[in-house]
Amino acid sequence: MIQLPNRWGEIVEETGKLSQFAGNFFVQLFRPRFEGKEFLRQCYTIGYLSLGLVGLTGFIMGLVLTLQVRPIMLQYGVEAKIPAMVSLSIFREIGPVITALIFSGKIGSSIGAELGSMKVTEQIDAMEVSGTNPYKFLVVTRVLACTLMLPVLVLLADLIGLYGSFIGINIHGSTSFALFFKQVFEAMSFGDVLPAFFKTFVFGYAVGIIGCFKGFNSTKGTEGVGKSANSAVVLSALAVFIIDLIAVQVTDLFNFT
Amino acid sequence: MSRSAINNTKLGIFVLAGLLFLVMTLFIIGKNRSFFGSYYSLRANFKNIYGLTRGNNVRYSGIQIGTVNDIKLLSDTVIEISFTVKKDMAKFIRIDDMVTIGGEGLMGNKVLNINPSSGKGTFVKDGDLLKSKATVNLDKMIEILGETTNDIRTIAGELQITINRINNSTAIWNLLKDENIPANIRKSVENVVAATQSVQISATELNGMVASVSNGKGNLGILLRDSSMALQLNKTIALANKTVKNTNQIADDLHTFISSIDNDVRNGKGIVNGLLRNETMTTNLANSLANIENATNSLNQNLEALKHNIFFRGYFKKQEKAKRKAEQAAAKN
Repeated sequence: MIQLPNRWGEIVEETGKLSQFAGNFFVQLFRPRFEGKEFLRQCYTIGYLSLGLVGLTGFIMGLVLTLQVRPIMLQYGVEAKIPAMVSLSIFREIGPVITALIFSGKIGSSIGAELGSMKVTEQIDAMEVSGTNPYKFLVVTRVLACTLMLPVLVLLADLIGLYGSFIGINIHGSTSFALFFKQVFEAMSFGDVLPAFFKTFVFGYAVGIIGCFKGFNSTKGTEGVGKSANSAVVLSALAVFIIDLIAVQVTDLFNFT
Repeated sequence: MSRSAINNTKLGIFVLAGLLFLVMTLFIIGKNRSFFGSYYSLRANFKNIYGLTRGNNVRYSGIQIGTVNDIKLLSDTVIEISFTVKKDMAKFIRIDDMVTIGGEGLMGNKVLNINPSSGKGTFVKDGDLLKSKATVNLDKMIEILGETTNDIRTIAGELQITINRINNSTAIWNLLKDENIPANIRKSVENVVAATQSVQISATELNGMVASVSNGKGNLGILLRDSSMALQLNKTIALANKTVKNTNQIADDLHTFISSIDNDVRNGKGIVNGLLRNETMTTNLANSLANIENATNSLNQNLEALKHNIFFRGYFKKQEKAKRKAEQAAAKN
């Protein structure tokens, strides 16, 4: 048996547990019975109810990015390229990552806290006793909802972000809506949209599974619930960045344009 | 409708909106990248493609009509570019249209431009190879710009020397300072105006004269415009021609005559030869002339004797009187 320091040992053990927990999702996903109603409820809560926050973030993101890049673009005399530059930034990186971070803050923490409180109040144990599979009912529905709703949220955040950029350009200059969107789509290729779109599924899955894992393994009463919620946010945010790094490397590796 | 159903409807709209945006994005990108619709694949060969890559736009007279599909290195000096263009544009593109590589501004992407030719070639078919023309790249432009800058620098240096000379020249500045010059120039201009007016008047008069001559007025007019005079002149010229011909004839005859005399003289024949060459004849001729002179003298003596003869004396006195009268009358006049 390998002897590791306490802290490192905990990390490795936690990683192993998390991997098992995450792998179990795919096992349970294709096993009946399907909790369709709960899944739709979770989609509504996780997806639709997050739209306001994500949309506002996206709008500010597009607007601020445009206003920030405008002076330097103006300095080089390429002001006309702002729509292309902002749209590429939003679609490729900022849209998915910022939305995923906001999503992890809102949904990761809520899942962690909700499941954590259920754990400490022994509701999960009671569910198991009553014959309901708590993993399937609580985890699969939430993780699947996160995996499927985050890409939709990212797409809408991108769209709203582009609108924010359009407003940003029209604060100082003037461009038509049609011209702006023409420049945006002329600058983009499938390689800009598809890898970014696919990685959002992974982001959603990571946020959901980490939130559920932290809540499911919550201990020490109400203090443990807070800790679960906090660590769910921190870990899922970190996971988003790590997955993003891997996704960029993979995209570069396959030279997907 | 239950709360759950309302929530599901909202969720449905939310998901559909996201998917709609995704589909629209992919469709527009695909359309821009020639993934949808009917396209023709065309080719062009270049020696240098200056960084053109797959996915760059293809333009026909500035209109976006397709994208670059593939780039192949056929040999060390030939690069083949395959590009797709919309099928409905094929009715405008001709086989002799010229393909060039351009850019979207200094910092923009590269663009493949199809430039219309004379419009005499046949329309393109799928897979056709179009003509290509190498364009001046940025490095070449900068090189030319550098040469131009050097030229400008040289010109500026020479200009500076010229300006320094002007600045150092007191004559030019004195000329500029002289306040009489404007008055003189004004006076000169007035003179020029006056001279111009005179010229104008002269021109008008000349016009009048020309008009008169044209109308056949005055001596010159009559000379130039009178048809009868021209007729007479023609006749005179004809007569002169005839005279010249006659003169020629006479000259010819004279020439023949002189030639015959010359022949006679050379051959020792004829009277002229006798005159020139026969000494006896010359002596005789001289004797004859001497005899004639003697005879003339004798005749003069006889005439003088006749004047003093009583029968003829009266006649000669009358003659002298008439002569004297005529001389007196002439002296009076």
